[in-house]
Amino acid sequence: MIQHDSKLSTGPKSQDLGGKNLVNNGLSLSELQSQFKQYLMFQNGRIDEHIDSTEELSNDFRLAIYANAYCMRLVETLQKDFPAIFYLLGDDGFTQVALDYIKKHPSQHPSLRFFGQYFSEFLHQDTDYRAMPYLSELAQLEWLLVEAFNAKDVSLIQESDVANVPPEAWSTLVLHFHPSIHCFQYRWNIIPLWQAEQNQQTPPQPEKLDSEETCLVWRQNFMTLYRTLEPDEALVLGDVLEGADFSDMCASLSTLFSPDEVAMKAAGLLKSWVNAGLISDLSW
Amino acid sequence: MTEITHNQQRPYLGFGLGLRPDYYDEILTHHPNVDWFEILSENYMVGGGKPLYYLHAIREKYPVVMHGVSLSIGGTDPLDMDYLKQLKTLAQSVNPHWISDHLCWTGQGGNNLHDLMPLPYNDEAIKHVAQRVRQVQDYLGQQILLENVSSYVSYRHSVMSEWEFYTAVVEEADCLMLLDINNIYVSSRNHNFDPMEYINAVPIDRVQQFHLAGHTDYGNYVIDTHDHPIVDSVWELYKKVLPVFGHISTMIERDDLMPPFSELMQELEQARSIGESVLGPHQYHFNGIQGKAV
Repeated sequence: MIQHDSKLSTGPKSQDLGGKNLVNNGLSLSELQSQFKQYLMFQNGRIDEHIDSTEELSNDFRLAIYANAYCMRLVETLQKDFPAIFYLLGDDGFTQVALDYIKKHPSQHPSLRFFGQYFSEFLHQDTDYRAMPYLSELAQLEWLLVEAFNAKDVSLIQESDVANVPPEAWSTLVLHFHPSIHCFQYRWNIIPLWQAEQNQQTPPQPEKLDSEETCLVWRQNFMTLYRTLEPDEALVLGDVLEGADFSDMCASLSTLFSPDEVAMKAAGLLKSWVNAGLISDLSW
Repeated sequence: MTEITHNQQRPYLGFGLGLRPDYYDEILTHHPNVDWFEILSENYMVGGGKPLYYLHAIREKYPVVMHGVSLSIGGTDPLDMDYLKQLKTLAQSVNPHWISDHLCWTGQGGNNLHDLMPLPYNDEAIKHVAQRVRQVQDYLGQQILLENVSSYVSYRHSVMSEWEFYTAVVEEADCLMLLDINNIYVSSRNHNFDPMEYINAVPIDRVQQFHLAGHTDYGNYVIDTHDHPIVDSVWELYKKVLPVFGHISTMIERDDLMPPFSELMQELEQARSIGESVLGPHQYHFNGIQGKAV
């Protein structure tokens, strides 16, 4: 049996309700949707005037079902994309941050996958959160992991492809990287903060580092990966990601190493990048 | 004995599940007895990576249909042609048996609400939606299915029932129907109507797919949460629906609080068992393979 059979009644029918549009002063479909959106996003507008109440449920209650779903779906999306921030702030703290973000950056994309794209920037700029700069940096790490997860597939080169580069081509050799790769600089201990969530351990106290560090994020074999870079690798990887060629890379390395060491260092970095699945093509 | 009206002209895939990331490995490793999978289109409109890898690997072994949540066919912003282009690109890659979305609006003024918002049931909305459906079908080069949504509000603008509105839209747009049995149940509880009155009014020859799902019952209202097993009341409604429509491809939706895969398989077997007991076995063909769907 269907539950509540005894309460069932026939729904509205055209012959019963003809002319009802007149009651609503001709509010158009677009105006109705605008009013509903206004209510969901800013809790104002006049949508309640256009909703029927029943004995069981008032129009306010019915509208609140949608308002709650709107907020919670977006909060949950941020929670999934920024698990370390959620872990650090706890349920209530994270929900408050998320609700503030939702008001400032309502979704403008058909897919929820892009909703968190401004979260790091928001945490950096908002007056309530910029006093905790590690939040913005941690959010940047987590967002780059999301980006790497969804990045386009491209084929990768092997060490043998490097061996086939003609000697005369090396000076103008340009490296093409996998679309998942991102480098970013940070000043706070965000790596142990992120790892605390991964390992479900008590997060360390946020602390400022002695000097700025660089993190590389990428995807290899469908795994999203990260590692911190030594200063020399951070220097040259930043350059070649911007389009610098192999001779530029060697020139950068020459500021850190002796002429004897530069070629070997450059070759070693190139080999490690190829083996880590960072390079998709070579051109010269 | 109840006379069964068979919907012979529609393709029939049997009994399917939603393809969700929690089950990728299980599906590829154990090749479960699922006739087909439904994907959430937006989850695969990405550049690459794990989702697309698993989708294509599973597509090699199973029929797939595409189900979207962001078409906003009832929206009043212009149709999002970037979204439609991505949808078409995905369809060309996946080669789904069909493409569906919801009879609703999901955004306004450039903002996306990520919810299936109900439309007022009136002539303006019928004309508006039907015109947009035709535009989408022309662009995609195929008919689409529209699904009825669960709703929690009734607009004072409405001048007809949901089923009259739904029927008028699909007739005027010449599209197909994805009938969500759970959504009919949920809305019937929230708006106090008889779900069988809805079922009996739907044009049989336009129904190509059923959805079954769980919901959360708060006593005086019901929320369509897709995070619980299908309740007895919805199974009972499914039993009453089958004689009306005959064999319709049926899919079980689960989107949250994901259970072990074996629990979804039990629900799938329950749907199969109900189908067999109500309708008897069904011979069907797809991809050149003859099978028995129940």
